[in-house]
Amino acid sequence: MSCTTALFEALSDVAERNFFAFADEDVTGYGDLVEAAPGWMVAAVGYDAAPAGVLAAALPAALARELYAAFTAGDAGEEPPADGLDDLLGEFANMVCGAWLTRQAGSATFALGRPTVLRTPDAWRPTWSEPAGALLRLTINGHPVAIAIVGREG
Amino acid sequence: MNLLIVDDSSMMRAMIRRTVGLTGVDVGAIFEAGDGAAALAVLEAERVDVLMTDLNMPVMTGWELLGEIARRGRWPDLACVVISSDGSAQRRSEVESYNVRHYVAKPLNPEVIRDVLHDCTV
Repeated sequence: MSCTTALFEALSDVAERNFFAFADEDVTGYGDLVEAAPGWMVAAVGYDAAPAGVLAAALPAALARELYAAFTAGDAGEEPPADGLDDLLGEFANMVCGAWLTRQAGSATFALGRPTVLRTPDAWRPTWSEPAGALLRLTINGHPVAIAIVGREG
Repeated sequence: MNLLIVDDSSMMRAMIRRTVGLTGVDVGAIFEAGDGAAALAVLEAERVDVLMTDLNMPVMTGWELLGEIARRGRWPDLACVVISSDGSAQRRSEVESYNVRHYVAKPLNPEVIRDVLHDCTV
């Protein structure tokens, strides 16, 4: 199974099972969606496997709020508490990374670091074109999402 | 059947609690703790039948918690369940020596949690 195939399967599994969201590999019009989405957030988690690396998930703040609202049965129009949103996105990155590594690493174990969540400047957009590891573009609930794997030799 | 959910993420604890609710299994009290040390305090104070714990936590890890439970020997009927992002066969094998009844890999599946809870009542 290729890295990006395993990554999409992992993300789709996590999104649907635990965040009540739908992931789609069809990225028709993806560039326009990215440009139209202000206020991106990035959730990153380091992993120690063979090789070690970092998984970073970039998603619009609107999607983050939507996931939070779905999870807490709240209103997507309301601004969630920052620590709650960070906790949710950190768990999202952690679960995606773990599910991906479980698919990729086979029987070998791995360790995940504590996730980090940051808010990007307003003008920032995910434009990685030649990542050192792998890049997956997809949509979740119609919002653009980019997942980058940046690995290093273990 | 009383549960104790141990995870440093309040969102993850809420997610586990919610998933337990989706199983339809009749549970009693659900306690929560943010690390192993807090979990031990709950175990000392409350009757807990099933412990669901993460492995990687600050202060006291899930590994240390499971080791301390075994060392104290005070809860012989406690069913221990590990919930982890690491679904590898090697990690599953590693926890076997800690008297763990079940190992559940994230993302959480209500059917899996239901089967685990049913088994823990046997």
